[in-house]
Amino acid sequence: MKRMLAALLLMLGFAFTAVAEEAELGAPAIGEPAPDFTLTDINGKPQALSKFKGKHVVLEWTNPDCPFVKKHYESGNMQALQKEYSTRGVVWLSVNSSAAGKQGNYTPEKWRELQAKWKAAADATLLDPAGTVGRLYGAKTTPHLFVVNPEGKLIYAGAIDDVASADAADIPNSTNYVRMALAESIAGKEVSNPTSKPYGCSVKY
Amino acid sequence: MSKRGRVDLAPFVLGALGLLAAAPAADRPWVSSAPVRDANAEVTLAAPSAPVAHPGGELRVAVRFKIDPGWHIYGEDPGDAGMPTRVDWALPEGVTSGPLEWPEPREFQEGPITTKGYEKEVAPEAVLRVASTAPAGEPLVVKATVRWLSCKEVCVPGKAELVLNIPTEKGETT
Repeated sequence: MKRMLAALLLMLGFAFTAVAEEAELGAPAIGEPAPDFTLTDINGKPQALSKFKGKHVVLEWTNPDCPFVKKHYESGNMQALQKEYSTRGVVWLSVNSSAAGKQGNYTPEKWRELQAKWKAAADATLLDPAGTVGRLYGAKTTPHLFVVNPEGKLIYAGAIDDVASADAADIPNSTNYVRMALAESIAGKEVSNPTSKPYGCSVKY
Repeated sequence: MSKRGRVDLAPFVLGALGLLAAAPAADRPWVSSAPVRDANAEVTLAAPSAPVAHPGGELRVAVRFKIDPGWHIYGEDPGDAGMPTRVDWALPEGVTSGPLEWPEPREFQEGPITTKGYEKEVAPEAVLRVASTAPAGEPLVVKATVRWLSCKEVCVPGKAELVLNIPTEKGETT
């Protein structure tokens, strides 16, 4: 009897583990409401996605030690995109989901220093060490980008561009999917390429 | 007497055959490029050293990766994260390359993220075809720029410029 109970508990344990692993990464659908969340930014201020309703919002998963993030920041490519659309009323939220002890997990003080060094032009950098919001959005890589329209619907999810490399020399010959999605949506058009396969380092959950 | 002679010869013949048969593929003569070490891996271009019928022939060229313990690289489809390995060939006129063929990858689990790739050693191969209009009897100089990503919790991009000289002979059958 005891042995049977133990076997049953073991089986239940496996079943729960399997379910937990499968359920871990969400995948919000294009055209559906982007899931709301509140995270604390690197200045200690809470930021809720719903607060930006009426504006386009870009969510950018980041990790300053990832070579793919460096490709787009050390070249100035990411900041140029942030500034270009900031002047057009787009809100840019950088999100870091590195767990404690993992690559890219820094204190708010260190984050402020890093973002200042890169002259990052995000409206806020949000810290998600529990990985809750990363899992909610199914963020897999750094960078991994999501665009939310003024109605709060998800209109783009995927890579920053179409050249999966760590080499900044490829940027001039790349098509930037985020720029494309923002430009089309602001012009009142459908986003012609709403999804792509993200490339980069894994998010360090 | 003659029977005894045959018996005496047999061990030598069998021994020689045995040596040939026992030689593992890796020990057969191949021509290789100089190895390049970057991003926790060593990469070489290699091809069988038997002269290639030229023009009109084809040959297999391997991109050999020796990957440091604990690290892995990716093939064509890295799965949830990572970067596909990219090989840009620079080939003599009249030589074309087929797609790089990878063995079945294994899965790597990092929390909720599943990637697909290779550890220890992997040697994807491509078929190169030499056009019948290519000049005959000259060595083939095959160049490749290889870009890959090595990961072990963190990731490091690697790049290697490789040059392989392949001996050729004039094609007799074409």
